[in-house]
Amino acid sequence: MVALALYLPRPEKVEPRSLASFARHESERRALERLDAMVAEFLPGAKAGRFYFGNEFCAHLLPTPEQAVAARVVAEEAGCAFTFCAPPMAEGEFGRLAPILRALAGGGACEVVFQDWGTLRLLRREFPSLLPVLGRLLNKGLRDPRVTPRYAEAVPPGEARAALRADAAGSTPLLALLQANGVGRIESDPLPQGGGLRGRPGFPLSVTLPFGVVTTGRICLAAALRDDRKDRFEPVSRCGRECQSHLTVFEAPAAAGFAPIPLFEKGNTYFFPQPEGTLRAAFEAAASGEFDRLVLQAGLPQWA
Amino acid sequence: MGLKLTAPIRHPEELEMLLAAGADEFYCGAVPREWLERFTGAVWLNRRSPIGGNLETLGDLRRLIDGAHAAGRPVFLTLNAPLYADGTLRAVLELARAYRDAGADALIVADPGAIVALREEGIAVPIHLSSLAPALSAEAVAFFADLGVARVILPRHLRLAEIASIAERTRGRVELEVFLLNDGCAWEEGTCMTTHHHAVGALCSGLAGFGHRFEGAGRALSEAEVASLERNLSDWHAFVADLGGHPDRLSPAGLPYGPCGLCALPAFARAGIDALKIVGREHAPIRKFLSVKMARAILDRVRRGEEEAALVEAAKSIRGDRPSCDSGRFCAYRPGPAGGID
Repeated sequence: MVALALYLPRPEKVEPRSLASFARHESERRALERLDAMVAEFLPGAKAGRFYFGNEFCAHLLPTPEQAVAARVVAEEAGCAFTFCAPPMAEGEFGRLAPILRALAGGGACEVVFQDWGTLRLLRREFPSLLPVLGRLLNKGLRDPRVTPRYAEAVPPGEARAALRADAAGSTPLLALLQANGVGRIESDPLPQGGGLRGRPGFPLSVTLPFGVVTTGRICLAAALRDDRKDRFEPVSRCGRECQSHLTVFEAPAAAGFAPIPLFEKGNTYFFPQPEGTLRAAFEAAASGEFDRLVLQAGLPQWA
Repeated sequence: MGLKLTAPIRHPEELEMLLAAGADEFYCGAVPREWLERFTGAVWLNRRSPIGGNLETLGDLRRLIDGAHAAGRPVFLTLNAPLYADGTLRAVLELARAYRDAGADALIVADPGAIVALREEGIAVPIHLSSLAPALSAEAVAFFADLGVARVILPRHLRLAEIASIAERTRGRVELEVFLLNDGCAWEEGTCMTTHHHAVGALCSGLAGFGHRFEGAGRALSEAEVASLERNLSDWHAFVADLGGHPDRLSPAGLPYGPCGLCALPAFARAGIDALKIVGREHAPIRKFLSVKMARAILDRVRRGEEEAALVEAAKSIRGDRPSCDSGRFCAYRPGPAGGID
């Protein structure tokens, strides 16, 4: 049976409750309610055996080492294992990561989801007790909800459709590289066009629901709220957590023939709520043993 | 010799013009018809559209490489799709052999699995790491140096101080290439999972045509908050439009607009950067020509050792549109409000 993990927004004790109760925005709540219903249907009574904590997308939302350790304590007190999530780390922010990893390396077993190859090298060199996990930004695949859901109809079966449904974990040489670097697991988003739901030999797969990631970067729309300079859209060097005050929801124009899937902008990252059909496909794939862990996000990224 | 100008090219007929403009190196893609027949136009072999951004036959590629080599210039071939799963990887390896046999001087690759496969297959062509990897830190550059890459193309959204730090910490291990002119990205290209297929266009610029609303966090947003968010979003759309460089316009001096790092050239020289990328394989030939010529004009002054303040002034004035330059709207390497790095 698939294992459940809960992606915690904050290092706090979690009583059993619905995912939707974590939501802070209306559209976020609706997506979490759909997921709650799906969990109740497919995995009634199931409990999370692992907590995820951290941030996969923004170095400015990294927790402090103390918060990371506190989150692990919460997990341990709940009888759960612990996974820490790191974002892509650019040169200017890279120094913030090692103190967190050092704090985590001093405790028990801990997975670290990495989203850039520099973080993996740091883990291997300085923190060999931490288990590296390939993050979903590095397990690349087409995730463009404007158009890729249409590929299932528009692209005939064969090599082209298989290529469009592929993710990076479908590369045997990449898997060998991961193995050589001690990577023990791969994270995945279900792809809107199908795919992203099958583990590979030697690499168990975690599937994250209900928010797929479309794109991210260092230029943060929300951070630009802090001043009026025309040239304010630049790699963020200061952050006032402006992303935490609101959510921007984009809806594709129907006339353009795009799939009716909204986009959620949260700071530097754009997400899409997995459609009900994809959620169902993920739970069915879990039930048939295609992958071994479901990561349930308790909302869009929050500041701890 | 550092600070080589790396120019985009998509047809052998552009070669003479770009050599005259001052290109030191060339990069291109080549997507033969067989790829399209097998995978359709929806599966991109590299980061540009199969039609319009690439050479279309291996014969043209050989002509281009022969011509460039006759002029003493290398040609690098892009195989920089974000990923190649096993099904496409076999075809990519066949193409890599064809590129090698045509005389390619390096392959530009983003997928670490493809780098491993090229080495395992014994395809002995130097590898340049694409900005799509992306190598955001000295530690990441070292990871790829460990894999044997010869050059790392740093991603667009690094600040100057970060580039200098990476160069300092990886000196002697790999060559470094940075973006100099044209075509920005709203997000980090290497962590963007969207398609740029012509049927839908880039998401960043397309968002201006989407409906939108703002939702507060646990409370309704005030009218003033919504107005502020609207202004911010409107400015962001203008910023994204500038990233495209307004290809239908030229500056008062008859030069193209677009993201520009010309006034950072002295900083790149100090950092020991090896190569400077001019973006735009799919651009009109005249835009490539003008971009290379403009970069060469400033670069030659850097090489002559002119004083930095004069160089920066020349770079900022070259388009004859100082107000646009001073506004920072096209500036690819702003110091940022905090400057420096951790």
